[in-house]
Amino acid sequence: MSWPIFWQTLKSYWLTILFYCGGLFLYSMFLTFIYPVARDVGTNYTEIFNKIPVQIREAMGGTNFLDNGLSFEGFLSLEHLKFFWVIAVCAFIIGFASRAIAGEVEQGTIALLLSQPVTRMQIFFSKLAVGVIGIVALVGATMGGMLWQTSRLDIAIAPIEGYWLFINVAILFFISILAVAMMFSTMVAERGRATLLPLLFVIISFVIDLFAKLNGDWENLKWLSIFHYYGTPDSIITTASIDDSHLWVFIGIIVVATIAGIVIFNRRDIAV
Amino acid sequence: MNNLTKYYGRVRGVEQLSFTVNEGEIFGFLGPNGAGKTTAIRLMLDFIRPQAGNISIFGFDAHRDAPAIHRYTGYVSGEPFLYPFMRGRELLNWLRTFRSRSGELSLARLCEILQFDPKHFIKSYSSGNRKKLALIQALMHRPRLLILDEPTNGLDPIVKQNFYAILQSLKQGGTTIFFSSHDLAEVQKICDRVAIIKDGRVVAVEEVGNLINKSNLSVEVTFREVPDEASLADLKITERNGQSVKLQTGRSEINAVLARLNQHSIANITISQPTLEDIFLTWYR
Repeated sequence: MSWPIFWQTLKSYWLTILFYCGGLFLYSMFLTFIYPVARDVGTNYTEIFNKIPVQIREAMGGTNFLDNGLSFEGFLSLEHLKFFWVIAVCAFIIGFASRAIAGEVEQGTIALLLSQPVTRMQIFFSKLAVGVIGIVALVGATMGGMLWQTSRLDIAIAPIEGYWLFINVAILFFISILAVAMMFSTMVAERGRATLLPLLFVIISFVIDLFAKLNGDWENLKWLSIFHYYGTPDSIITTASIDDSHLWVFIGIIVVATIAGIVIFNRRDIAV
Repeated sequence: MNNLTKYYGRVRGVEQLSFTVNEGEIFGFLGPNGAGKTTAIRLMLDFIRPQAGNISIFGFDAHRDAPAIHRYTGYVSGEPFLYPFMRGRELLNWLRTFRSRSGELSLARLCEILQFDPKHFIKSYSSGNRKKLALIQALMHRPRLLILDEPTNGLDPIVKQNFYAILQSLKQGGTTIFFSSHDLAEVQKICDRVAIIKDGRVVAVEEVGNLINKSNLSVEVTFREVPDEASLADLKITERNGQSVKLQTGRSEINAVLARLNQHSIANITISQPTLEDIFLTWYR
């Protein structure tokens, strides 16, 4: 890793990271704040969601609370962690990764970096490290906002071990997407394409997961979707468990995409 | 550079390009647009990789040992792309952190000589000021090798003169300077040797003085009356306008040519050395 590139990248992103963290922190606090209202009208809430097919409910991220009443984890999973939050963090990741390499090539500033005494691998890892820090900060801000508000409002939550496990799963899940987005960023010379490719990866992955859940004949397609391995947040939090193979899949994606990204970046011509 | 070949798909970049730059010299690299100058520079800096051939700089391989070479290299691209939301000083201070600061030139002094104010945001700089910033970042660590691609584009004449003075001072300190330019007068003025590149290949590498001495003399003669065609046959006439004739001749043939011209009554005659521009154009005509 090159410290000058790492610090400069962090310096140019700290405001963006702060903005995302602030937004997610406040939104998580807000959802936690309105949870008691949703819980108190729980019967209606449950009835509404019971009318939705179970496969769609699963895809939307809430299952447990429908059987056990409106738990905090089920509410948050459905309203935030399975869908909206993933979109918000992916927006940060894809925006960051597309600028990291392809953006520098498009802007021509990559020439300034390549003419310094650093290897392309150092450039790649310095940028990747800032992306990882951003992800950790975003996940931390989200969960911090939630947990702080639950303690303030005296809301009963699942044992903290489940939250720790979910934080780790979410971080691995988002780093997998970051690694894939960085890989695409090394392949192209325009920021637009570097945004589109990982966006397609996420959307197609989500659609495959949904499709596999809705149609029993195509159930095995789920293995192809990264969202399958992310699972349902409330289930991970309340049971404090996840199939280890899911974590290994994330690690596998991170390793393969990172190696592919480095190899592509090292081999490609950069005519700036 | 040794037998370097680079194609972009089917488009030729350079082909079997070979030349050597001596340590401590200012080496001019001449060629029109599309001749392969920038491709050669990109190859030297390992931005792109050749299909064949290799480049050795300070005994290091330009591809395998790129970071080691870049530690001692300053580079200015033809059109410098810099981070628009950084201030000039911020960029310079950041780039200083990549290398050892021992022996580096004073930033304040460089800014003063090149008449550059580093306080502002890069996006607010004119193209000339961006070029000055690019020059300062390349010069500030006192590089052993300076690779310059059209470095004086956009600079005013006073700053150009100051920049030439900095180059001369760096050269005296042992810096090797690779100077790619369209401005043939400046190349003639500051370079020790030049390479002329045509269609991706080097067609001449010579000391500037030798290149001029080896080249034809230019003779411009005005006769008192229009001479007949036959009397001037076999002469290398480049331009003819009534009583005036321009021609070129080798130095060894000058006496014979003057004898031929002297058969007519001469009103005026000028014999001149060719400029680098004249020589360059003879390769491209």
